Amino acid sequence: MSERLARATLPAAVSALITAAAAALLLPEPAAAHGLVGRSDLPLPEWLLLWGAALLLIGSFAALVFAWREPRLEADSWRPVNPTLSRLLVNPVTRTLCGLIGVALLLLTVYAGIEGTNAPDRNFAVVFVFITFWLGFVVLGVLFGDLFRAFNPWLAIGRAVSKGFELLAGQRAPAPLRYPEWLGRWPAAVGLAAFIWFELIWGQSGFEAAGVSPHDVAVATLVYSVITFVGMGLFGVEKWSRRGETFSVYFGMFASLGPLAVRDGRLGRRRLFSGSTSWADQPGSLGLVLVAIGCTTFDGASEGLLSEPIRSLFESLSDGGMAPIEALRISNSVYFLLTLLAVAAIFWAGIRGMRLVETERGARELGRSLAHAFIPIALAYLVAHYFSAFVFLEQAQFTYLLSDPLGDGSDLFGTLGDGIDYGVIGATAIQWVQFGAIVVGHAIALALAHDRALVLFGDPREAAWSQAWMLVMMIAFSTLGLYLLSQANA
Amino acid sequence: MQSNAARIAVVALSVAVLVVLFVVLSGGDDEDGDTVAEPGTTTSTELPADRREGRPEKERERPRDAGPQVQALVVVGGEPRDGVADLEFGAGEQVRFDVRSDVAEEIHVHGYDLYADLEPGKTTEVRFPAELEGVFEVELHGSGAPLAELTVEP
Repeated sequence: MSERLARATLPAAVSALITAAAAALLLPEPAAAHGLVGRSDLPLPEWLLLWGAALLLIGSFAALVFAWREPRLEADSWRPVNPTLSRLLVNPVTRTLCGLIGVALLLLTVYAGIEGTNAPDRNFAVVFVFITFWLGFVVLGVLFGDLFRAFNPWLAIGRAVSKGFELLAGQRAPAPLRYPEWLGRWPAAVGLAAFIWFELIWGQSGFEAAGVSPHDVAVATLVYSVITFVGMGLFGVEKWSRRGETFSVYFGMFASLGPLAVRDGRLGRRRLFSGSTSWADQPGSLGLVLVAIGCTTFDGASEGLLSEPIRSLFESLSDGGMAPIEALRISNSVYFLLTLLAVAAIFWAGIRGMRLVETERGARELGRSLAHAFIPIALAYLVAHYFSAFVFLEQAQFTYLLSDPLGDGSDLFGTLGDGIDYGVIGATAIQWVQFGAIVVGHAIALALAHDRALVLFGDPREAAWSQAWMLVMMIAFSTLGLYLLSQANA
Repeated sequence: MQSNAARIAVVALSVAVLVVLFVVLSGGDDEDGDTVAEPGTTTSTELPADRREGRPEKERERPRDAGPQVQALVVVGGEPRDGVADLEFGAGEQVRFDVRSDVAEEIHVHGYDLYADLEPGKTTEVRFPAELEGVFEVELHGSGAPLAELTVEP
């Protein structure tokens, strides 16, 4: 941090270095996650892109012809599991334990970020926040239900404080403000964009390969904690955690796809993917899904497709006399915004098309009623883009980063010497995982959209026809996903 | 239903056109063969002695006549003179490149986690087997600047 700020405040020294020719050489390496490992994936080969696109196209339309005629995922299929098992897993003891673990990890992240080494790849904070936490709870949520609600440190602290208030004052802690219903999940959508902006744009603004620094991560964590506690204080702990707290809302979105969910303190099973059908019940839900897709799109595109446009905007800005760090941040921010707008535009074009068939419902209503069908696409983008970074960096997380969180040479668990084995999975296997994620995500998205169309339109034929537009939109997203993979690092 | 099918066909066709467009566009970007080290032709002059496990070699200073196929990278003041170089090899081949720096530096091959010292004004030959697949960053440790991108294709 200090080194980078020093560079930022030394424009003379920097601009001496950065002549127009040198600017290109100094353009930093792309995403933080890749900077952390210094390794990135090979671009998807062209033949696989071609076959993938053809498969998506033909498969999708074939599926439409043979699709089921009654909704299958819309009904509430949640059934409690064996009560003993439920009590064993979901009880006050486990809840407290998980909350304590969450709070401990939050404190460790802040402590390591402030006290530890500022080398991002040797400090617990960076890998934990951007890989283990950010990607891990998505995976856990889909597989085992919304575990983040149990581990959420802010929720645990908020609940403990309001419990303390109850004991002292003899009444429930009042929320001074009513949460405006129109605001819905918008704070979470904005928070998501801010998180990604911090990781990808603020982080890479130092002219170093490594990206966001541990110190910045600690400061951002503290700032976010303050925002969260203010939100909880104003609108109530539970309310804010379900609407405004970015990570609860974001992880909860993916967890809605999974087969496990807790209701009223009881664990239950439901049909796979069916939980998502009732997810988009708040304003801003669609915004959140589209921002999630847009963020990953930008991360992928900035390494390939958009790297030249970003670079040329950066060069013209810095030629115009702007300090290089500002120029880089602004040019990246501009393309980040454009990417979000482009994703939204693809969506609205599809909805417009549907409106040619369906004239009774407004575009807004149609958009919201189909929002949940895009969660699998957001998940597919995440898997395709971050799978390899997750596999490699989790090895670091559970070996030397856990044993030596500050990067000062301590060896708490004797695993300091272990590192990342990059041979654990080959480049071809990674490409198949990426390809498979996009294709499977696309298929699930189609199934959800078709199911919803059957409810909306009643008549299977009309549903299928409206689906043609949905299909085009989803094929556009999935082909874009494959295309970005084929252009990565190209 | 007839007209529906026709409309669907039109939509399908337009998407197909889009896909073809994508592929054509992506094909245009891939013509950067001239900086690629020719695989296969370089290995013949390589001595098995260089294949020591996991350590880049940095012995003789004089580049030999096998030069043309081995990319030579030049570092000036801690920055690569000609920009970030693309080094491409197939898995199992020998990675070969030479680095010459005007100041003392150290290079770090990420992923492989190999280090090699650069002495001012001397050429260091880097040789190691390409065992890991992927795109790896080769970084100048002193200045932190990226020197090259090492691509190892399966």
